[in-house]
Amino acid sequence: MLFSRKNTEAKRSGQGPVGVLYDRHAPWLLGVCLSYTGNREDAEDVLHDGFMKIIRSIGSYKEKQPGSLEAWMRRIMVNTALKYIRDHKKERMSTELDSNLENLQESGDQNDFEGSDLTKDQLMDLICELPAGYRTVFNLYVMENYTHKEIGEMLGIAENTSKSQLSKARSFLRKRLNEYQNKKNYAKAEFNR
Amino acid sequence: MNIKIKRIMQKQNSIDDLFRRELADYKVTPSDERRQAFLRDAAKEAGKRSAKRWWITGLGTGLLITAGVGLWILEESPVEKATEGRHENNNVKIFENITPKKTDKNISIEKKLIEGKENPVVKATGRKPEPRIRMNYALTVSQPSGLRGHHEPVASNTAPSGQAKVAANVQSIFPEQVQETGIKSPVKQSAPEKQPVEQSVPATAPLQENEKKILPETRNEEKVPKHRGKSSLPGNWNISTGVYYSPEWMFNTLNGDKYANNMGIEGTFHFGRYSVRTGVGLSITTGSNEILVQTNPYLGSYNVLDSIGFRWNDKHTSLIPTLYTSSANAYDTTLRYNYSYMKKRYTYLQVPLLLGYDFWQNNWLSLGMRAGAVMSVLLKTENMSATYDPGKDRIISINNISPDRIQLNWQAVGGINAAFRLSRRYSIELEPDVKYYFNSVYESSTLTRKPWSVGVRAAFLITF
Repeated sequence: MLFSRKNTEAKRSGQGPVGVLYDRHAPWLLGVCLSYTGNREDAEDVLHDGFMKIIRSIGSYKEKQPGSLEAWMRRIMVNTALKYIRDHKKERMSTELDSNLENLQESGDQNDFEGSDLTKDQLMDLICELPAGYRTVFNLYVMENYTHKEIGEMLGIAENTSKSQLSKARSFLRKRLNEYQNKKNYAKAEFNR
Repeated sequence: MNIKIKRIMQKQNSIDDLFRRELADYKVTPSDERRQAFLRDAAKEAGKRSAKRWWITGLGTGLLITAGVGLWILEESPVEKATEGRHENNNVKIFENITPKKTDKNISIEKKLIEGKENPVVKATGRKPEPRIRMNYALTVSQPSGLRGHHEPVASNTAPSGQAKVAANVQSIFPEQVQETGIKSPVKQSAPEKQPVEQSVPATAPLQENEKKILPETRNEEKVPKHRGKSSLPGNWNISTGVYYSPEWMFNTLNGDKYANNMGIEGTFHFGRYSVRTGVGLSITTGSNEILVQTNPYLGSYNVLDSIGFRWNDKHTSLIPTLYTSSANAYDTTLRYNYSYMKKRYTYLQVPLLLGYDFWQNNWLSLGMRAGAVMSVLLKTENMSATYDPGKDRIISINNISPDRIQLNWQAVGGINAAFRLSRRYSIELEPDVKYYFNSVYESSTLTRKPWSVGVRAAFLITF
């Protein structure tokens, strides 16, 4: 049993196994939730609901290999986040970006962003700035490694819509990254001058 | 063109890789308030699960214990013992001595049915000279009363004189009532040195065949208990009466969950698998009523002059007054409102009418469904807690805030019935059921919540 494995740690910390489980996994799961909801308040709601689901069904979980618990929890959290987004549909999944972002793919510069020195928080902020539909598709494709077909089935959208939204999400992110690079280069030039 | 696509792909991959790499282990610490809220909810959840587990365990244990007790009582039933005793008296051992002459070459034993009766006829035809053979047949006999006197074992020597000599000795407590019903193998019963004889006697096979023909009747008779009466068989009818007790947990009432005790007498008319049940019983439940008491606060007391008497004093040559007073309380004129709870006990008269169908039956257990309606009439309301004590304050008025109970309500009932027959007359029943109240139990038009309840009815019934 998972909880019995953590009993020693629970006794040492003076709190129940649920508390230990929460303290260990809540931070990174909240990061996952944040990348889907786009704001911290909603992310904490999703984390709460998702963790309740986890403790309800953890009795049925069987650890097959190391790390599968994390994958299992992540999946539950992602599903909870998707349900939350569906239930609190403030933005349509097929929200269009501004027209001035449409041509970014063609006109963008050649930066490969390998050496981007943006912090993790700044990158997460960029994700949060994405419209809900783009953000969801981007996360499912890039972070969860789902195919467009699977994403289409999960979100109830066409496969091509998923591709289109991913492309637009990338364009948006690229634009923002370019802006950051340009600012940085400008600052460097100013400093050298 | 290809270079352009490749470049685009590279750019896309670089963005994906950047976010995938950087945000893979992204962590945000949840706020402490959220953590506490989650732990509170998790504790509640654990409590619910624990309670559910206890309920299931308790119910399962109760059913197992009841089934066990039922089975035990069935085993120890006096009718069963009487039946067993009668069988023991009819146990008879039959020994057959077969002694062929030395000139006998072969021995065959046949058991024939003569005139429809199961009379064993032993034939021996000798071909070879054999040593003296003694075959012991240990026969366990169960004698049906209707067949007594018709099953005397007959041993006849049909072989030519001098070829074989067969003797069959029947030892019985009641020889005239003997009927062969179970013939144990001679090999098992006789001494080891006599085993070869069985091989040289092929006639044992027909004996065993006849044994098979006879045995099923008596074995079936042993298996079917005598006290399993017509009540369990479809197509027959009977009436049973008894007493029942049913604890009931009500939900959706004003002051949270409530517990009620139901008990009474009932009668059930069974017709095959169908049944109709009615009866009369009492349901006792408690409830707390909120009351609003208006009082004037007590301020103090003073002496009121009631009268003055005068008496002439000769010594002082004057009138001495005597004041007659009485004490009077003083109250504030402002109203004080006090809320108080009073515990009340409600007694209902209940009349159920339920229809049933048993979907599974055997000799000692039947499972079925019951559904119907129950009428409840409020008979009595008692105050269990002391009446409100205002102290020295003056009570101006007492108002009931909680509505009282209505005089009549109806419930729909559905349940699963398990009946354990202890004997032909006695049985016990367990019936988990759910009730839905057609109307609110309170005298208030604004309260539209309709209660529902779960309960387990236990009944002891006598069948006529």
